[in-house]
Amino acid sequence: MRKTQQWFAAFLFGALVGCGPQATQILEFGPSDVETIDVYLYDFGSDSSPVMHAEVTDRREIAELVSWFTDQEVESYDGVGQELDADRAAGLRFMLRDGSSSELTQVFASPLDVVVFWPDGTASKVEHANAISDYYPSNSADLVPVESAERPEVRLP
Amino acid sequence: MRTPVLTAGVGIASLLVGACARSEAAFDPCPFDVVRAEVYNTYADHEPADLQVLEGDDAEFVCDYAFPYESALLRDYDDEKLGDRRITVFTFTGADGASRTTWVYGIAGHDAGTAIVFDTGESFHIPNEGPAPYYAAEAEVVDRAEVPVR
Repeated sequence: MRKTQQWFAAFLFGALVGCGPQATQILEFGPSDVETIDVYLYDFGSDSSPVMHAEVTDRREIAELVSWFTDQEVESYDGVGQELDADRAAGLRFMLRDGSSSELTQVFASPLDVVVFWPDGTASKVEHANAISDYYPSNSADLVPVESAERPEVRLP
Repeated sequence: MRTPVLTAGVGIASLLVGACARSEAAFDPCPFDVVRAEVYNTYADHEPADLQVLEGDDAEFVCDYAFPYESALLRDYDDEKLGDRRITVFTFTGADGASRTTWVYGIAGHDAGTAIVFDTGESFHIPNEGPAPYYAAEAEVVDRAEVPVR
């Protein structure tokens, strides 16, 4: 194969790979399936840090939180969890209208370094995400301390 | 020899550009002087559905806030692609009793955008999450069968 053809083939392959579908993750439900969301804020990996709880009942906030985790572009997470210690964690328990519930946890180190533990037991890295805890200032009256056992469980894959 | 090749190349390029180009059309789902807005939400083929009813200035706000576009890209959709994500249906009633219904469909995929279908049959593509699904804190749970269908 001539060099120009090889270069063209390499370019075409690169373009096709570049345009290929990225891995995405979704919740298996939409905002209209959710009755309320329990939000638990704490420092990841610490059993001694306080766990603060807020209940989200406003439909607009519910829709926003659900949309954050719908068709989210993700990369595989190969960590062991320890590197996330002390990062800000937000556990979400979606209470669904059919009586069931679904849980996930977002661990935020920086906007470019966020790990999500999904309801299906997988974990993935997410870029360009906001911290859920930013929406609930520590002095917010909506937050009340609860036992750490109440927060959604994080299972490392 | 080079001229036919060049012509063919230009022709193919034109076809590709033409295929990518999309026409825009005026975008106006709101009747004159909106006095009532009914906003239904459901998801894919799931049973849960809910309804928010807004009246007066709140209804007018919904129409202005949800659909701020003067024009939008026309795009035809297969119905199969419109039932995988959230479905929001807006029914607006004007002061003269005229009513318009607009369907909003989330498209599956990262940054895939939103499809908006008018009751005239025109359908549009919005390259973002499109209109918010809710405009008040609370919603009344309704039977899925109450959600208007096209």
